[in-house]
Amino acid sequence: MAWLEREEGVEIHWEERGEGPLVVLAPYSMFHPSVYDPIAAELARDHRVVRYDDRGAGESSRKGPHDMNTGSGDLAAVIEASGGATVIVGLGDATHRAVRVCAERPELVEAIVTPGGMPAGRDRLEHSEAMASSDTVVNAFLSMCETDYRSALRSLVTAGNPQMSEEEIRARVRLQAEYQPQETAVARLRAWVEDDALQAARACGDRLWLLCAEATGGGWFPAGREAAELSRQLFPDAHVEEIEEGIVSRPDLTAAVVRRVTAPLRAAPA
Amino acid sequence: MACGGALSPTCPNCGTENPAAAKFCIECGTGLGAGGSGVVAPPPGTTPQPPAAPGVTAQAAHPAQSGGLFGGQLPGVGAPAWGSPGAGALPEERRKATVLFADLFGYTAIAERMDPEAVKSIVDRALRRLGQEVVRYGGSVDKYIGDNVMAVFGAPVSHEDDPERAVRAGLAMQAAMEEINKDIPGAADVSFSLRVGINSGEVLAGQVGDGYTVMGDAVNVAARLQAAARPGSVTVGEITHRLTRGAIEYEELEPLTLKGKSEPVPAWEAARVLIPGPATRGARTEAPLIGREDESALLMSMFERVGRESRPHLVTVIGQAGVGKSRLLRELATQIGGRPEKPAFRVGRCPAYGAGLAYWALGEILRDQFELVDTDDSELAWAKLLRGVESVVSDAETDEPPVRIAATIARPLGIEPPAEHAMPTGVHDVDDAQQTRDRLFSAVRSLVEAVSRQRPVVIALEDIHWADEGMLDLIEYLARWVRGPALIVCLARDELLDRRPGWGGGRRNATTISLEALSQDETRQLVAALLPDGNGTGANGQGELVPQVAERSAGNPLFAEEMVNRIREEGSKEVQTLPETVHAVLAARLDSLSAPERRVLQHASVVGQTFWEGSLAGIEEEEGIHLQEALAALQEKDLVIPSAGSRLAGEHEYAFKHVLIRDVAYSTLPKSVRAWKHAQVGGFIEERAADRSEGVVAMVADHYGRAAALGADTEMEHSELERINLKALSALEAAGDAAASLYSNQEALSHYETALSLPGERGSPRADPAVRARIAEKLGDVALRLGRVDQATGVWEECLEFHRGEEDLARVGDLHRKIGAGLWHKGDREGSIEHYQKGIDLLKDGPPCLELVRLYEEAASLYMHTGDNMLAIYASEKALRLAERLGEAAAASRAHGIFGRVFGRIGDSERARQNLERSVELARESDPAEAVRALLTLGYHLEISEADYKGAGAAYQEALELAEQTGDLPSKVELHAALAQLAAHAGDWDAVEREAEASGQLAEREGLTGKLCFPYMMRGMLRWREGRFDEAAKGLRQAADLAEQVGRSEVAFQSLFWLGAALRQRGDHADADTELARALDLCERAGLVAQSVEAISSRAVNLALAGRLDAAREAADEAERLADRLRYPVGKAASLEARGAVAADPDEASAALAEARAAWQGLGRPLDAARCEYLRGRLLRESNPDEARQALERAAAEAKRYGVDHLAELSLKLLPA
Repeated sequence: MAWLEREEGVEIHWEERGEGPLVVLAPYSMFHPSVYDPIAAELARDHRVVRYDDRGAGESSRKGPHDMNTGSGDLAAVIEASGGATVIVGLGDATHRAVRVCAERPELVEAIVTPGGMPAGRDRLEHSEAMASSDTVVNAFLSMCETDYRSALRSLVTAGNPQMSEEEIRARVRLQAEYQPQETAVARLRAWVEDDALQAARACGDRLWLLCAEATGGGWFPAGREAAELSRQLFPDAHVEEIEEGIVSRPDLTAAVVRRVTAPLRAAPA
Repeated sequence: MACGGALSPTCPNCGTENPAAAKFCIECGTGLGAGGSGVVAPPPGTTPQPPAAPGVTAQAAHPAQSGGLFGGQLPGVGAPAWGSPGAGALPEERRKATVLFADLFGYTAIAERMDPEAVKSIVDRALRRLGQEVVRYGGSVDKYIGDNVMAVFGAPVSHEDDPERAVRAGLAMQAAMEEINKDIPGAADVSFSLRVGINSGEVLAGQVGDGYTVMGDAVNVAARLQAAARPGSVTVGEITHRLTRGAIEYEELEPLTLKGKSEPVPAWEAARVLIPGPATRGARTEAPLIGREDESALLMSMFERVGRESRPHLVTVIGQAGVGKSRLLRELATQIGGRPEKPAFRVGRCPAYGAGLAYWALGEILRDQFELVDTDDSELAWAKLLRGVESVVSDAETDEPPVRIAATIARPLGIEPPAEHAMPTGVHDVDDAQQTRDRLFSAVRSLVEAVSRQRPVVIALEDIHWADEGMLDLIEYLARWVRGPALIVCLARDELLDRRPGWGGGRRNATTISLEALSQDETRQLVAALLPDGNGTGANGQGELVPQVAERSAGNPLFAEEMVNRIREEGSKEVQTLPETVHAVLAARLDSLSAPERRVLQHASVVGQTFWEGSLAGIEEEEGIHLQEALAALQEKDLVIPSAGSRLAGEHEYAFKHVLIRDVAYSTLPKSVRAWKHAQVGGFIEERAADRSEGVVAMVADHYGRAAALGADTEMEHSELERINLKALSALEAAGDAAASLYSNQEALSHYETALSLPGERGSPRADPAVRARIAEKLGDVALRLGRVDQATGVWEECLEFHRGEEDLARVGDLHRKIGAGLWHKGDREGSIEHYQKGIDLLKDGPPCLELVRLYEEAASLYMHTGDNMLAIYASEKALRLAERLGEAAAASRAHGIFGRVFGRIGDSERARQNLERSVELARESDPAEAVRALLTLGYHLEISEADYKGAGAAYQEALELAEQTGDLPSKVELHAALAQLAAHAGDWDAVEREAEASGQLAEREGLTGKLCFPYMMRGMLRWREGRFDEAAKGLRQAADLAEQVGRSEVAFQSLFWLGAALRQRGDHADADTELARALDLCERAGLVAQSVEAISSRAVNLALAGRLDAAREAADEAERLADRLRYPVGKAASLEARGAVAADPDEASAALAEARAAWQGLGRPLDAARCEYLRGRLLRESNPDEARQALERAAAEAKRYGVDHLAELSLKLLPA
């Protein structure tokens, strides 16, 4: 366990496990970091895996700001502190921060692997079936987060996890609400909703790996084939691959892509 | 050595190759070779002739018609050979008969030693002698083949005891063999022995070639038994043994291995006759009521009681066929017929094939009441109906205007009200079949009540074990809810209790009378009264019959009556040979009729329990039968009775006196004849009903359905079968649709299932797959209504595959929606969503269509109920956009409604109100039923989320008026409850009581069990107000449980909230906390955010009163935080109250409670304000007694003013000294 000092006394909590090429698991603002546990365990067999808590969440200082630039600055700092030149694995808004780091500090990023996310503005989803394309839905969700955070979390959890029992849903909501307070979540969510990372993502070129699985995203984002087609249109230089399942149910599929990226690094003498 | 006659190894009947020496076909028992049909048995009513000897030319007493298997072709395509005209022709029939085979054993040895002419002479004499025994016992020699004789008992004439007659004949034949052997020249060293085999069972009887014979497995087995019999013995099969073991002593044999039988066949050897000889005859008379005096008195006392108490009573008379149920009813009719108050006595019968005939008995009663006949055209029928209803119903006495009652009951009668009458009533505006049924029940109840205001009503329903489910529901409903003197008498067999084990049980106004068999004494009395001289004197020999008939009838009055009838009519003295079963009695009785009478009964049996003269007109032309004479004779013989009215104008209607008579007559018809006749009857009814076919559609469907099923089993001509199949399919579908529209789901399901099970023409596929898919889809719809989710989704999957093959995307998409809905019924959220998604994916890229709107709509609804608010919004938005493009205002209204509800749930009141108001606007433009729903939803939002009680009240009132207009009873229950809730907020308990009563009465009266949670909750609140906390808690728990069960989370919450209040008031703070925690849990599960603030605040107050201040403060903090965010007026007031209740500093507490009080007052909730004052007084007692006194006195005064005495008392108790 380590602490990274940032400006104005903010401390970022991070931790690492395993040996090998560096992989940083960038936190997704609406999910508890435990969603990364399966992939972390998988990759730690032959990688050094770092995960951290965003400012305002978990063990890190409960202090903002929570805008995209600050968030990508924190990510870059964690990578630097971890030794640099990493593969970033991230979901949702983490992808937005990751492509910014990659575009601005290419020396820190070997590749970005995202098994669920679309580093572009919501207006790019206009013709998709994704809920994120609907202003009505997004505004309603923001409004709900502001008035009734737990119900908003519940809405996310149930949409993305139809298999969960009532008890599991409640436990997940409780965990997430405790991990990241309402105000932080709302601020981070607003930052994400208003962000368009398209240019930064395109600047990543072929270092961006977009993995598209069916039944991911809980209807908020395009999934599967629709996601793949849209990704190819938006990010012509990126690697776009369709995989069977997402990071939680089949971490090995995402890990396999990471290993393809890090294969040369792992082959090189220490 | 054989007899010398030419033997045919190939059976002329079935074509089976037989061994060269076979005398009878090993497959079907048909005689092989020469000598067959030696004697044709005489037709009923003629004197038996002695048998002709082998080789003697048989006398063809009744030459058969030419053509066809058993006779001539009837006019019409594919008509089977039956009922052809011609003197003495014996029709092809299915009969229960006993077949005897006898074989001269030792014939070969004798033939070797004697001259052939001598042998022939001996055999001729022997067989002639044996044939005499057959005739003596009422059988007929079917044929002689070589040294064999085949005899039949029960065809063409039945006796009740044909099996016994056959065995007696067999034993007599054995006895006759001694005599025969003595007569053989040189008998010292030459003798025959005889092997007899007898078997009983169903056979097909009719003409083959020139002779009458019987065929079937029973014949084959008899031949085999004979072949296996020990020489000198009579060996019988199982059925023969069972039917004769009381009269014959048997020795059981080891089961016999018979050729052609896979399993050994049980067999017995007859030893001797136990009961000897013959008896006497008598004459018929009307059956008196004997042994049922108590039951009759009970019925009368119930009739008196319903008149005295002016309330309904349900009596169910249960007993087996023939035990006297109908007789008891006739007695009641006779007894009350002469009463000065002239009771209305209406009878409805449920036909045996009536499981598919929705509300048949109701139809009979209504037709009787309003003198309707099926051939009235729609205009006349409606005019009669309306006039009739108006003559008994007046607006002032009922909730329903006469025109609406008439329009509602018109439907099961198949009458279409004119548009000008239908539209204003809203009768045709609502598609919801459940509501249609509810309205029908309500209308019938109103009608019964109206008639009962004029005079007592007796509604008699016969054979309700055959009634459709809807009819049974209606009977129970009437028995429960009619307000007036109405005696409902139901007659049923025991099987009713298999269908409805709890029938009539548990209610004080229900009585079951079980009719058991009469005692021996009673039966003797009955028989004695029936016999011309049956008083036991024995003056003409009748008296001695009494005990014998009584014993044989086993206490069954019908049985006894029928036996006596036959004795009287035939002058029979053979009491000893009386029948073993009612069936046998009736079969024998039918055979005792003249040929035309019997034929008429057989034809009529196909029509049903009731039949019309016109439906039998064909036999007059085809068979030269004088129909009216035959019907008059049948009436005279008490086998049929004329109906008081007729369902077909200008038609004389008759009914079989007892269904068993009809059943037996029907059982004699060959399947091919039944098939053809059913098709004819279907066509007859269809033609006569003309434009009123809806009223008879189930009956038509039943006949065509039977015709198709039977036709497939027989040799019906292909094109005819195809025509009948098409008719059947169409009629069954129409009958299913009619039943489904009345919410008679079980009947609809049955019709659709029958339609789908119709066999295809031989070798060809079943009906058009598109038609099958259409029917299957409807079958799924009604199966889902019945809760048979797996069946529904199963057939829908098949339909989906069909439409997928047809590339009909709209249907495939819609079927995905239906399957999704079905799975959601089972709680399979994931599977449900998957299907909705598949449907959406299929249709979303195509042109906009209503199917896609509905997919989004239902998905939105599902998401809303599962708390997936964002998905609900998303799907609603999609539905809304599409509905707008399609100009579907009703769908758009529903989408706005879901939008509004979800926004309300997530605390966005402004958007919620906008959407709900828009929903109301669109609904007002499109559909009054939609408008009721939209206004109700808007009202809830205004009440719960905005505390705008005035606005909510206006919405509820408008919805209530619309619900009145459209007859939307379920919504009325809800709206009355909503108005009661608003009145409770205002402390107007009179209004609460009034509205709660209206809600409760309606829900209970209409059997709207799912809505009972509303009145239960209101009644719980009323008990709270009265200070009866235990009762309040009980009622509120019941309301909460029911509401949760039916998915009414808002009602469940409200009930739990009040339950918490009742328990707190009782001092059970721990229990109150538990219930409030349950309410909060519900809020979380159902997404009731606004309500959760109230529950948390209430919990804080309760915990504070219980002295658990830390927990109380924690709850108060949470309530405050939530209330601040939600901008929810009630939440704000409640959280202020909580803040005051938990504050450590008295001044702080006082200020917060004063603020809370002001907030409650501002909202128009004076009782909540008074409670705050009570809490303030309570908290200030030590720190500021004067202020406390004032507060408590004020609280007491306000509580008193608003009718809550227990709060007033509590406040006064706390006044500082």
